[in-house]
Amino acid sequence: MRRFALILLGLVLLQTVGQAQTPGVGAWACSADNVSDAANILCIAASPGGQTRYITDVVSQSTTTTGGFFNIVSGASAPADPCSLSAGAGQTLYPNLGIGNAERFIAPPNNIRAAHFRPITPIRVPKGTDICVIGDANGNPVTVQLSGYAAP
Amino acid sequence: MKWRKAVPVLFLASLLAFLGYPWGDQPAQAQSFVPGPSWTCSLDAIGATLTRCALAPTGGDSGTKRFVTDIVAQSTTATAGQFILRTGTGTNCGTGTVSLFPSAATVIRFSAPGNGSAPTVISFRTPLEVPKDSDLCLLGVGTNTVTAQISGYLGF
Repeated sequence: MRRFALILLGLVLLQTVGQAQTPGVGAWACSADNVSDAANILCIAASPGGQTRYITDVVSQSTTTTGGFFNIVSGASAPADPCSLSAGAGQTLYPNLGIGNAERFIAPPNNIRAAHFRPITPIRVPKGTDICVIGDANGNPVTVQLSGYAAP
Repeated sequence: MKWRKAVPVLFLASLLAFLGYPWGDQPAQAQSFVPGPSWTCSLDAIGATLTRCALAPTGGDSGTKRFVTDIVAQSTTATAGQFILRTGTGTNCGTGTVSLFPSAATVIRFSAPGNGSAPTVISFRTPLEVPKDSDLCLLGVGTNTVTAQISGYLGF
């Protein structure tokens, strides 16, 4: 009877674990549209729960028939100055070359397939920081959609 | 005495049935990669008119939301078109329209490549979440119209 009770307990725990993996929990998505210059355009503010955001998907496309370069960065959360890199909390995320480097990855022209980066290891965003997109300064704005999840 | 031994077995079988144990007669579900009932919708040759692909879940699925895991898009001509996914209610998402992909835009942005090259294929690690009780629609472009297939699952 004791063995039977343990089996029952195990099944109940298995069911509980399954429910903990309900889709959508902690998931987030954001987008920055037609980012046309080197400004930091806010995609999403820091997680309000103090959790760490992880990026699982980066979809990018130029808004013209010429590719546009972009960077994804994070920085101190300040409404008037999202992703403030001057506060010392900022960093480049994609590519992670360090602040001050030129944009390197290209958002493809809008007449070929969009670029979709879906890293096996999600990109970790420093806790308490916004996520921003820095666009192309050469007249080929980019549209970027990011998604991921937040976790402690 | 035999009946007393059968009681735990019957109870266990009832519990497994309650928990949804497949019992071997639902191999497709057991092999599913999505955490909820799957769905697929497709639209053909969509021009510059926002057009519904999937209704908000109703009936037995009422209360669930659509999660988008995959998008395939291609122009119907040799020249690329572009598209945007939007959500809303009413005729062709015309009420309470909100952009989904890309969420920050209100106009077509992502490419549906010309039909002489591979389509745009996007399979999200983190699925897109369609707002509850909202339909899913696609806006394409005139002349170089867009054919798309969108799939995902229902969840909470």
